[in-house]
Amino acid sequence: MAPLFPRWTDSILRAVLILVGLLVVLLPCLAMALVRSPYITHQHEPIEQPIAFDHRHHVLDDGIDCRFCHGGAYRSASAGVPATAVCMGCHAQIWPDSPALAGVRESWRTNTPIVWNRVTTLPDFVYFDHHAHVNRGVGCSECHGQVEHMARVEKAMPMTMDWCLGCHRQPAQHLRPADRITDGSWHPSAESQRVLGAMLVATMHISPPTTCSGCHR
Amino acid sequence: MQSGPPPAGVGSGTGTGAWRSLAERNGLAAWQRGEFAPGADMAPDALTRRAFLSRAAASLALAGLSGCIAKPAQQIVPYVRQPPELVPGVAQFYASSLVRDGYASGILVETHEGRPTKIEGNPDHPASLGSSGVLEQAAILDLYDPARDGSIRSAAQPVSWREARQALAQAAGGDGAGLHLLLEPSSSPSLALHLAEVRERLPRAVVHWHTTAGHGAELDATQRLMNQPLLAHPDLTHVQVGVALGGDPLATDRDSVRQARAWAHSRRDALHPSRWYVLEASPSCTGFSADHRIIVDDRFLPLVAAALLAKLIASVPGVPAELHQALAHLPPAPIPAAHLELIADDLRRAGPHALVTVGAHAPMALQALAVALNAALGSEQIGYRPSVLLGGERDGLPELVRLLHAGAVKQLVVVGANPLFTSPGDLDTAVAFRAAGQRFRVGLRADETAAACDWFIPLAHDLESWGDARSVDGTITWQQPTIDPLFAGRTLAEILDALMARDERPGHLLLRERWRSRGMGDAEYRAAIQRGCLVGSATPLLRPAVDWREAAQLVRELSEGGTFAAAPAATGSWDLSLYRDGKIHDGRYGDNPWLQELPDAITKLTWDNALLIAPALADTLGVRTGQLVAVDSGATTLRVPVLVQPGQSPGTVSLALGYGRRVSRGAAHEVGVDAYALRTSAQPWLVRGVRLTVLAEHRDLALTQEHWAMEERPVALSVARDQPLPPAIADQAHAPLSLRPDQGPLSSPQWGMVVDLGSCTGCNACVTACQAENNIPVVGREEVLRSREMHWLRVDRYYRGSCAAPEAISQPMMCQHCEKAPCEYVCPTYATTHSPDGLNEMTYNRCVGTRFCSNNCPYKVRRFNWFNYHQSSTPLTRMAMNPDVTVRARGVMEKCTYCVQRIRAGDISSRIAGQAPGTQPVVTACQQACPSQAIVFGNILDASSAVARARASPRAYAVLADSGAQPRTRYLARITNPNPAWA
Repeated sequence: MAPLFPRWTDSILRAVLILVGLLVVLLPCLAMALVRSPYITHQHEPIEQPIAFDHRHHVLDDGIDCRFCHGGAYRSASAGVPATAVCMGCHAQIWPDSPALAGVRESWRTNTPIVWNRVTTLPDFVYFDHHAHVNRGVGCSECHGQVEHMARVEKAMPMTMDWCLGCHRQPAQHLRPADRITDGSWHPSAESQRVLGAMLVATMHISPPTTCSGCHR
Repeated sequence: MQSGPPPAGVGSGTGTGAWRSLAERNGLAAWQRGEFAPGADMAPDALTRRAFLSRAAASLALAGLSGCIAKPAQQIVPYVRQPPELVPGVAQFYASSLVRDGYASGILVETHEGRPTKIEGNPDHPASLGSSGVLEQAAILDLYDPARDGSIRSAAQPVSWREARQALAQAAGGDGAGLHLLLEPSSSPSLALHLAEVRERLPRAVVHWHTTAGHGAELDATQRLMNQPLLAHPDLTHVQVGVALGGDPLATDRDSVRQARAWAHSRRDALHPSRWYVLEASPSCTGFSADHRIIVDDRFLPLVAAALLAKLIASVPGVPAELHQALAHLPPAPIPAAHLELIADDLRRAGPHALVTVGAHAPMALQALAVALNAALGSEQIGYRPSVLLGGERDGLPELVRLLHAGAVKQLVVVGANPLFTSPGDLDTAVAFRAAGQRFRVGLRADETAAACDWFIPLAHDLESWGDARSVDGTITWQQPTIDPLFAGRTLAEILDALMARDERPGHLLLRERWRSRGMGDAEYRAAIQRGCLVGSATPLLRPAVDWREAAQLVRELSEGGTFAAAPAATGSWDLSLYRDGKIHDGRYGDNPWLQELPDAITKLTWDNALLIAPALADTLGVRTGQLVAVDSGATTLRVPVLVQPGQSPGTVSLALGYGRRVSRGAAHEVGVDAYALRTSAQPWLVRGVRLTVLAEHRDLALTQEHWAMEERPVALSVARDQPLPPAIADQAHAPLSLRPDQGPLSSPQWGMVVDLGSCTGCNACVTACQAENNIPVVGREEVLRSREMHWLRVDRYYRGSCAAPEAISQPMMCQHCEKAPCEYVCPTYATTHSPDGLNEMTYNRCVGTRFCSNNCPYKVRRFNWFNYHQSSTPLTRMAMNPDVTVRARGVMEKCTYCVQRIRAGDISSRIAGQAPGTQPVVTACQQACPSQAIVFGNILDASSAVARARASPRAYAVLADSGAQPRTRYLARITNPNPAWA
């Protein structure tokens, strides 16, 4: 009896099977890569703020430490942003009539808080504790990047769970002494970081949780 | 879900003979239903699972994409002027108090960013010592109740506070003529000063006090026998033999938090553990915790007390012959003479370490006999104090109603309470109220009383007010607000100032001024407010002598008056016992969904009240649980569903007050039956001679006790003191063989918990604390009927013995954090894992809702979110949530986490302090609340910790140990102390 299908249909079948096989592998890979890409994580996208606060001026020029404004970083789970009173502490006397600071003065006058746009955020089911990190040798720039060089703050790191676990599993590569936490000029060589990190892990008994309930409660 | 015939052993009395309910004991359907009732997996609109899946196939396939989309942009909103003491993210604790029946309970309020989220006991306060009861734990939800009314209204039109003040000033007039105030009893020293000012400024104004539970009978009794009106203050700490004639000191009576702790201490005493005899008609937590529970109708308790007194005064010097004579011709008591003799012997032997208590609502006769008994014993476990309450002796409502009918009330101001709901049925308060010229209602909610009044002014909640009060022992306790009034509520002090047309003053200045006028300096005041109480301010404890001649006279009067008559009730009629249950009290907490859904400690009933009847009576009448009966008191008839309650006296039926609200915008709407209709001023607690008529209708009662049926295995062990420990404990010395590998060397800390069944009274404080701490949702009556209640921690109650007079034991059951947890290896998404420090973790975002983990759990402690229970939450109700705990959405499994948020916070504190993780002590919510300190938690590898020592106790055992799960939570078998001569 004559075959139903001509011989060239075999090639089509094989091609389709190979294509489907590749897609089954490639599509999830593409999806996973996409989720980790800056397109989804919004890494390196400077965020517009209601008041054009420039960290370069306040940190590099004026030498203000991170903790002066973000006081929650070493005391609480949430680092927070400064209250209007902190800004007015200086700006009631320095540049008191600057148009760039009109929003701050308005907030102070009307007792209405300034609504900042969040740059670095984690999902609601993640419980991140700032002061557990800041007091244990993790510098601000490890996670937030070189904020003092940013005109508008952007998210410097992907903030994916994989990225967090990278440090939690190998903390030595990311630790620094307690007095250099907010130091923007901390750029050790790979070798010195290795030695120093190992020493810090040993002396401070650094053992970051890698179990689920460490961050998910 | 029908299965085959019942397995051998159910209801046959093998194993421990424990049974969960009458249906189970009689081998009926309880076990057949398995874990979930039929239809438990069906949505309420009867969409079958197959239909749902076929429609949802496409959406399921696309569901995974939700992980790819980043969340929308958020804002951060800081303060404008941040309070210097406040660091956002760090909880602040303030000492304050909650007032109930006029007495204060010392609490600490945990606040996050200026809003209270959790209440704990104040460790510095002598009445709580750090513990708290059910009603304290649930008070948070009352604060954030959307049913609270926030607008001032006159004749249904909103008005301003200034207009309200003017109206109040006008109502008072020049001298208060025609002005009547109806207040709740209060122990506030500031209020006493304030009312003195009111009396001076408005001399013709009259103050009435409304209470549903007057203590006048107690004062009358002590006045008679000790020549001064005093209240009894027993101390259970060193009691060796105790007799409770009615009442429930361990759970629902006043000062129960302190009494439960004292009682637990007396049970743990190694040399002289206490022995308690409880005589009562209706089961209570105290009754089921007793070594001997004797079922006696309330009306016979004075006779039993007199019989005991007759036996005890024989050995007491200085008792006049008249008393012997008066007690000589008593009718026989309704308990076996041999038992009475044993109780009397035991009491006599204990002497100064004996104690006789009665319920706070006992009639004067019983109160007086108890005073006499304690004096005859020379008991050093009881003292007496004058009452610290303004009002509260007797209900002032009848007098007010009389004045209303007489036309003497021109202006009526009702503050707090809800008299149009809580007034006795024979007092037509609603009609009387209409006779008043102008009626102001100051309250939390638009309730029955508000509906009958022209003016409504919102009342500030305890957590929003400055004030002071005294606890039961007289300790002055301060109240400081932890949040600005959410509903523009006003305190009683502001209302009184408005009546006196005084300028408005802030509450904190008012309070400060009052205490300055009593000579308290600034520094002392600040220290006292911070601590919450004035240490050493308890009123002195008195031990006046009893006038035995008066006692003899009283006994003779009672005898002649027929109090001791042992005549049975007329056939076909019963005693109706009305009580305030431990959940909604006199009805004021009816709008609190946590309390409505809390299973009653004894009946395990939720969202309802029911008539408790004895099994024998149920057989006689031919009724089943849920069937309606008509209760006829002669004056009123009420249709009530019946609940067959083992341990209930056949001569008494019981009904809880406070349900059946007519006007409620909250949870209390159409829940239960209004028992106040059956109450009269003459018989507020015990209505004699009610008739019952069986009706054909049926109501499904939302009971939790028949759900999660556990087959007959030794799960809650209890053994008498002189008996050997149950073999089940020794059998556990060898762990069963398991396919799962052992864990290997464990590093510190390893978290574990021990629950002492001998200390647990079953009061449910732990359940409410867990609900408050962990954002556990309320599911409603329909879902409870489908076994879907969400409590992570439940208190199981097992009966043993006969239906008519069983023993009972309460067992708190939560996730056991098994070392070889059967739930962990069946999860397809690794949503439940084991932490290195011994916790069974639950990661909500990974859970897809297969529910295989719950299927595998031998303890059935996992709860599934069948619906989005929080989707109807509003910004107001969300304020009650604990920000440290995830709020779970639909489709996610949840369970007890050993308060992992507290453990991790403790870890972080330890690490920052340079210590090993787990060094800082961690207290779970249930442990912190438990009044009798039955729950111990900590690092089991630390040999000096309380939990390690408790685990090493010979009484320690694991529930269902033969499952191989190796639970971290252990239980200590209850050791009872029965009288060896008791037959």
